[in-house]
Amino acid sequence: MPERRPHRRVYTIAGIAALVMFSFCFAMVPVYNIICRKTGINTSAANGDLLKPMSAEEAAQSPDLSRDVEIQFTSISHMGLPWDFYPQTKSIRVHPGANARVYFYAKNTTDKMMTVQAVPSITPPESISHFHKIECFCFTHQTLAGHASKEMPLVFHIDRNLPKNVRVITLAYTLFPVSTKRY
Amino acid sequence: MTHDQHATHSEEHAFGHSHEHEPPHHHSLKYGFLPWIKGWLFTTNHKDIGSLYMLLSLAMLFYGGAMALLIRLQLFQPGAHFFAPNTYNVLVTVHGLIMVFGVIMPAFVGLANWMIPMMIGAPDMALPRLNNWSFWILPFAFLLLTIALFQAGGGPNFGWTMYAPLSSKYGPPSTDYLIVAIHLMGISSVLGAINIIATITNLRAPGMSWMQMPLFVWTWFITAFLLIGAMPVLAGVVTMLLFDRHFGTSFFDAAGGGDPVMYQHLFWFFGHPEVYIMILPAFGIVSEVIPTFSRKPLFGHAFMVGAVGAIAFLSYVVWGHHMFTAGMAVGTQLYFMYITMLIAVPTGIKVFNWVATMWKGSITFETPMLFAIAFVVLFTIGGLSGLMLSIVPADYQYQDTYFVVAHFHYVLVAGALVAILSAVYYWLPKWTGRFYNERLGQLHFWLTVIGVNVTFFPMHFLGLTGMPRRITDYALQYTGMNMVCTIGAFLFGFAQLIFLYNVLSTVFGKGTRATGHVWEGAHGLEWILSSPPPYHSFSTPPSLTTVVGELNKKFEVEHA
Repeated sequence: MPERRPHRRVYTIAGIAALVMFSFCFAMVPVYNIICRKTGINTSAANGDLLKPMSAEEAAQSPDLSRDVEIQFTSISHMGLPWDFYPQTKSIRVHPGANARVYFYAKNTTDKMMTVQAVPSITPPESISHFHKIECFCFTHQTLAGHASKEMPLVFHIDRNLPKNVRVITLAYTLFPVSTKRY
Repeated sequence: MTHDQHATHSEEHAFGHSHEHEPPHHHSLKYGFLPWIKGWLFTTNHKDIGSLYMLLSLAMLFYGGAMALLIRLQLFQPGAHFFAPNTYNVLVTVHGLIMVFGVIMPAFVGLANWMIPMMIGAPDMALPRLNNWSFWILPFAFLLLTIALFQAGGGPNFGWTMYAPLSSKYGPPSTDYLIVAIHLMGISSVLGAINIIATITNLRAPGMSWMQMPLFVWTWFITAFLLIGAMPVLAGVVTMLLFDRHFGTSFFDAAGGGDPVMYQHLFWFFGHPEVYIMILPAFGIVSEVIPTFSRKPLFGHAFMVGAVGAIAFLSYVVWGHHMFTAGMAVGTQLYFMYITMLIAVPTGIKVFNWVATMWKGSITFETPMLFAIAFVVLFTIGGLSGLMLSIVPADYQYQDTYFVVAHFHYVLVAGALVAILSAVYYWLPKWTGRFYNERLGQLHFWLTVIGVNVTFFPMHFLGLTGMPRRITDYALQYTGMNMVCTIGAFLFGFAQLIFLYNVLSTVFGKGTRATGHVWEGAHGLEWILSSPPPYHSFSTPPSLTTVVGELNKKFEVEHA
């Protein structure tokens, strides 16, 4: 039949298009990661507002005694990770420009040695670039033997450029297992 | 098969009776059960397959509709009296999936199967065996979905959007049945879409140029491209879910370097074209029905085609408006907000043109026309609430409230479903050779329109006052409105039994005979066939003069 040929053309092209769209979905995984990392468009913080180290002049600032900011701490263990993990201080008030130190408590409740790492999240987004960590247990992996526990320090600095309307900042840590093995 | 005695069209005999008139054996049980079942299982006839799609859709309408009534029953008053919260979540999930993939989509594909070959003067679909396969995959998909309901741990309970990690980490074991069912539905739709594109590109009768295709054919042509672009993405994203669930990958698991928000991006990259897949053919139906009963050609045919194309293009670049609150940079939100609002322009053109078609027409109000007018009015309400949702700061308030539920039920029930009902009433006399009962049709219309509005209009207010969606129990102050919604839902649901009776009695030979032409103001190639059309129509293409003459009447080109 003379019609078969144009049919084959259509279903070949359309079939390939469908396969391309299927692969497109998987191609989006790395592409999405790259785009988000380069542009930061997947977060509600503006691009320039991502976490950054404290500059020398910010470190030299004297505390702004005219106002204080409440910093709240919360923590969770990811998906049933059998660790006890909580802040020793639920919240403190600090003056912008001053340093503060708090402790988090962590205990490995299993029998085996385990390595974990805490990943932070800061809200509201406009405070992210003004929240500087000087020393943090979240910078490195934390390893504890079975049933061992420890107090982990966090030293941070809120700089004076923090927008005036921000009165409460929440810092949430999620504890992730580093070893991929099931526990 | 009935011989048409009221042939109004001079050429009806040439097309209606050119073939031997034996109906195929599987159309009746009198030749035994085996030929019957084999006939329907292996049929490659576009009319048979169209009927099968429509029947599946009708069955699924009552299946998904029963779930909707159970949902409304639970919400009749606060306190969650009737079943457990998890059962409620399962009902909400499966109701959504059935209505989207089991009712609206198969109904449109069924209409496409029946009407596209007849409208373009083709003998059948381009790839009839593929057509058979596209249909017969579907019952198995819905069987799997039904089996999923009875698995230990309960059916899928995370909403039809299947957001990870609710469906990956926390999904019940039955989620895997759902994933396979979605794959089957996706394969079926993509194959169907390929078939429709091949049919429209290659099998148009001589003399039918692209811009002379009826609007139903045009909307389906564009919808088919949306299906090919969108359904494989859904297949991809549920495949990732399956991998995350069983093969240790972390596409959507933050602990392994993945990102649950990426699930939402990928899902809505499918999901937004999907909502236009469910409305563009409805636009096509209404663009056929309104000119017929206004006895005027469609106003602005070329603009209608252009508007459908523009909507289809825009549908691929607006997905972010479903996830404004998921975390997104301000610039990105602004982009999605403005580009979403832009869709109102081509949609506005369409609504304007439908109204302009009716303007100064000599309108009669048969059931299909009533449904078509209801579509224009109610779809506009749904479109406007969509416009409200596109505004970012307002969306923060509306997100995940009953306002969203009201919006998408206005476009999917009062929009897509009402258009399908209009199409069934419009073409049923053509399919069966019999008129449906007009009085019952009108009764069905009024009960449906009243039921739909009583059910879904109060949901706008519920949403604006803050009632969240997908909850099994609610605060006391929402009781009154919820009772109204439930009463409306039962009215709407049981009114569909009239439709069922009307359709079945027409199919089984009650009702007055229809002429080939059926409706006084109808023009187009499907109307030059007898009613019912012969099993194989247009096995020789209609002549150039027939096509040109009929299309000139349809579009009133060059009135000389």
